[in-house]
Amino acid sequence: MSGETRLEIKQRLGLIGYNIDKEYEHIHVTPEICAKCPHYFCTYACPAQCFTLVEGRLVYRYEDCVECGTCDIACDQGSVKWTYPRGGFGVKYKFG
Amino acid sequence: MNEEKFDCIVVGAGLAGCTAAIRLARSGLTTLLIERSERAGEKNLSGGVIWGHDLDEIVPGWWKDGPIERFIDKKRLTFLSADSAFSIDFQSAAWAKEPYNGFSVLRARFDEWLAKKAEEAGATLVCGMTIRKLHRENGRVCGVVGIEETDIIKSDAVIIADGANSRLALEAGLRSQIKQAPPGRSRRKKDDPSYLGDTVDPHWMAIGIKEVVKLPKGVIEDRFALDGNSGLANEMVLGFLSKNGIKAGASLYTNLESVSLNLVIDMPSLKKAAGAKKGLYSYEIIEDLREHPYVASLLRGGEVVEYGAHLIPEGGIKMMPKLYGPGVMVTGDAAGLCFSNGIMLEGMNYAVVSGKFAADTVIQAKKKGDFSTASLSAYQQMLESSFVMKDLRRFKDVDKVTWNERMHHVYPELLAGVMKDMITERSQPKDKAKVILKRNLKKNKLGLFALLRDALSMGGKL
Repeated sequence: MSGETRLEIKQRLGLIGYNIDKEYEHIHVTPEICAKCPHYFCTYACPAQCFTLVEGRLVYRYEDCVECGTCDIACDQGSVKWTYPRGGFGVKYKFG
Repeated sequence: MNEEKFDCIVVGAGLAGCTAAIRLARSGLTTLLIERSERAGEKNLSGGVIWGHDLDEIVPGWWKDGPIERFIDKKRLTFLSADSAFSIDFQSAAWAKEPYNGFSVLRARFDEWLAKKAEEAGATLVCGMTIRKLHRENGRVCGVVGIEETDIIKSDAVIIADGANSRLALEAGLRSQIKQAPPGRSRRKKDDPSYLGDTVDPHWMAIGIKEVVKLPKGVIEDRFALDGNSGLANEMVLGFLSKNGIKAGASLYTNLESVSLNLVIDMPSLKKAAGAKKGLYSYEIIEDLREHPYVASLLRGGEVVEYGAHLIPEGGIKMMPKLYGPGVMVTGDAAGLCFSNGIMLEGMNYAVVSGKFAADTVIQAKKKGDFSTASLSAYQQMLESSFVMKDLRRFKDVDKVTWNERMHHVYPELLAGVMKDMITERSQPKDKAKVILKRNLKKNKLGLFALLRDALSMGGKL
């Protein structure tokens, strides 16, 4: 049965409503710090796959963020800075 | 510049914020309830079951008129091993009749409804506004700073109810930054160049991930043996992540026409796994859970209709910020008011109680015309004399049981092994229970002494 009902994270993120703020990014990272990161724990911890490694380099996107704040706590290198989006922007749950 | 001054500003329209706003407005205080989402409720997410009746005095009849999903009369604790499930199942007819004991809710709907109640009580609800800063005069909080720096909204007091990630409690200096400790060090020192603010134990924040799975109402009722609008709350210990060393719990709550599947991950164990090249992605673990034979059979044919996540402030009393300062108080998740002993998971009712006490403190302070730290200390006193702080203090070490390594990585397999050995028919003479237990203890590398110690620890801390 394994794999039959499994959904890719992108499919699941597609179920969520967002009002994306094109003028303000509420996640900031410092690439120089990330370049030296020993674990890239953010890529494991973030439930919305906002942090990924592409050819060994950390890439992030704020658009899929569900505003849980996990990355803010998970990053022990002083790189990830997360805050709330501007008013009215960001994730919109139907059920919650 | 807004010249209007409110008696109280409440930031965050969740359960704590709405409760406070209703209470304040009803006693005639001018109240501004500020919410950062476009529509109240749409950023709010929890497991979620509201236990008890603390909302009764805020909105009488809320569980009859409000958008609740089901009343919970069935409770189950399940230990999931790699391919098995061992459950302790309990149901009570006493919980199946009014006034009921617990209710499953979906927060986007429930909180929108509750925010409407605050408006009906006379509070002003403003949505779509993120508050990042408090306004201070002479060292006392007396308002908030709106979108522009010059956009100051004044009030006698501010109640912070902006959730688990509370930026305002940080800004108010009531809470320190919660950060993972860097490798090899438990805490950062202030003279460390990478100092990020005071760090606290990341054990205190667990990652909550949720999927709402749609199923027809009739199927839910038949499959879970529910009568009418009754419901099941099923907590789980996930033993199947033992090979990765990841500790996690889960819960499954029945709604009217959907099931909430919730995963709770212990962050340090997830990090340790990543460091040991056995890492799993948090968003894949919930799929592993949904595909576990036990969960898969319960959700068969269901359609995932929503995905989301939320931090859970599990640290209780150990992570609690200062609850008040001059002109300001912290409530709900922002105050770390959350309780979990593995069987009972409470947060929403604690939020309600704290919102109520914060409002009552403001009402008293208004009468005295005194919003000083000393005056607002009444808030802490009210909480201390209630079940909320008594629970949190009494169960302060409960994490040693709920996040005990063996609870997650040994006992689920041990229980499954014992049950399989007792029940699997091998057309061979059966072993006595004592022999089976001994064999499984050995297989799981668990000594009788450790078992006894855990039993005592559970007895003492649970």
